[in-house]
Amino acid sequence: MTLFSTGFFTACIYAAITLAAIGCVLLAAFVIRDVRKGRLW
Amino acid sequence: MTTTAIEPTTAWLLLGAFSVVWVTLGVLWGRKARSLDGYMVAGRNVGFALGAATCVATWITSNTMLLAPQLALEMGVWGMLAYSTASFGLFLFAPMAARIRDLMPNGYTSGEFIRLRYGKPAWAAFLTISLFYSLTWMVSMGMAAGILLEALAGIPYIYGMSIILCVCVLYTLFGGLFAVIGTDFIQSWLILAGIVCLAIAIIVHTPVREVHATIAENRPALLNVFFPAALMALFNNLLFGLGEIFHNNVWWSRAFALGKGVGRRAFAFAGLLWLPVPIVAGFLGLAAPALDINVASADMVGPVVAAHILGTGGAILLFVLVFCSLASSIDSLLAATSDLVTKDIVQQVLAPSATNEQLRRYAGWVVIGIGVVTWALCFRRISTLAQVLFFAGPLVGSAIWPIIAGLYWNKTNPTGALLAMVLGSASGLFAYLEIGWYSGALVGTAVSMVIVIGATWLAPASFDWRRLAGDTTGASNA
Repeated sequence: MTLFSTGFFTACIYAAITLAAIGCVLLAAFVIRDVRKGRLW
Repeated sequence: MTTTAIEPTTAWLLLGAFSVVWVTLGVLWGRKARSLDGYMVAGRNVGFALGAATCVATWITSNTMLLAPQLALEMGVWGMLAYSTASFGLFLFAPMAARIRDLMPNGYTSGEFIRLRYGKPAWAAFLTISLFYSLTWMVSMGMAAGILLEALAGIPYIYGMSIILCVCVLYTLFGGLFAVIGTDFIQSWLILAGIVCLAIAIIVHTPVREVHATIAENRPALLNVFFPAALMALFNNLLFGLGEIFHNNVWWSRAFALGKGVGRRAFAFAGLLWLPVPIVAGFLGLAAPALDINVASADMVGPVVAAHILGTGGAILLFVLVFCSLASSIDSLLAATSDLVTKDIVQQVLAPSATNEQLRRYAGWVVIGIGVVTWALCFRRISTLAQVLFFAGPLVGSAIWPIIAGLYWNKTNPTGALLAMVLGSASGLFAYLEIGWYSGALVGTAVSMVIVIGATWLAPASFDWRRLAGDTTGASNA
């Protein structure tokens, strides 16, 4: 049985957490930008 | 979990606080939703940030938070990655959202598109699929609400389910799509921030390498690179996700609501935001063996792990995450399904001469009616979350090709589209019952594709795209 390596598994988890964290910050930043420019909706 | 992770008093306070906030926001934003356009498509000028937030919040359902850890626990790494492929639906819908907005600048529902593009027989088949799926999705989430509140806080199933459904009905009723999109932003942000905090807490407690080592020793099949059922689940989930997004009015209503030029970017960004969520949530499931946790019910592995690592704080955090994911999806489904029923059934069949003001009122009553039907179906627990969710897979899979071909290929044959939906659904359901849940969407989509392409090749039509841009209110267009 070929198993996913520790490196691949670790990279997957860390990449996902990092992407979610960056997304969270960007989402807040974009809303602030849209509010300032008056184009929220 | 043998005892509840949150004190019932704390849970009732949280439930009460969130309920008051959402309903108050619904009433406030409802002032903008007095016209039909305001209520159904939020004025057609929603910006990039709220557009992306509403897409990601809607797509993060309670199933994402509960089923992703379950799939990871049962199907390992591939199960976790399989769930994340549902984000491809958002990526691929991005260009379609722009085209939908261009082709139907005054559109309201996906049903209108099918009726104008393929005629009434295909429209009837599509409505059947879409309404069945929407109801299935809502029932699965209503049930999840009751099950989760009971497991986490000991709130009886019927109370938890009823309160969450009632709150969502109220703020959707008062605020329409404005309230849905506004609350979706708050909910999406809380979900993303919460899940990152939860994952970091697990890593601090048990390093990822340790989780990997424990699985490799005790349950190596979960790390198997060639796990046949999991690989099938990967493709099945991908196609299920595409079918859900391509056909459902939840996504079409956002394509109509986003400002001109916003849809493509907003959907693509939402895909990026959504992609990591099932992997992070799935990590909770994979961490269970390493933490030596005995999980009695697989679909509760996420809450059990959160409570084990962070105690009451973790359970409260997961409570908030699931509450937000439930509300953000139920409200969207209520609004979009109400639009579909109001525009495609009430206006087309029951009251063809209704004015926009009348339709705006009917839409509110339809929201209430859908809430009541969902509540009645949730009253008894029908099945497990996974079974309820995947039963609709073959149906939505069969709608993928009629939608794509109908949007981009003017030669697509209406009879082919109708047969694709009917025979694709039938064969997909057969596979679901005879082979397994993981094959239903795969077979439904494949059969549908062959029929759409074959019928178009045998008898090409010639559709005039301008018909979609005309008045989409009159039955005479069909």
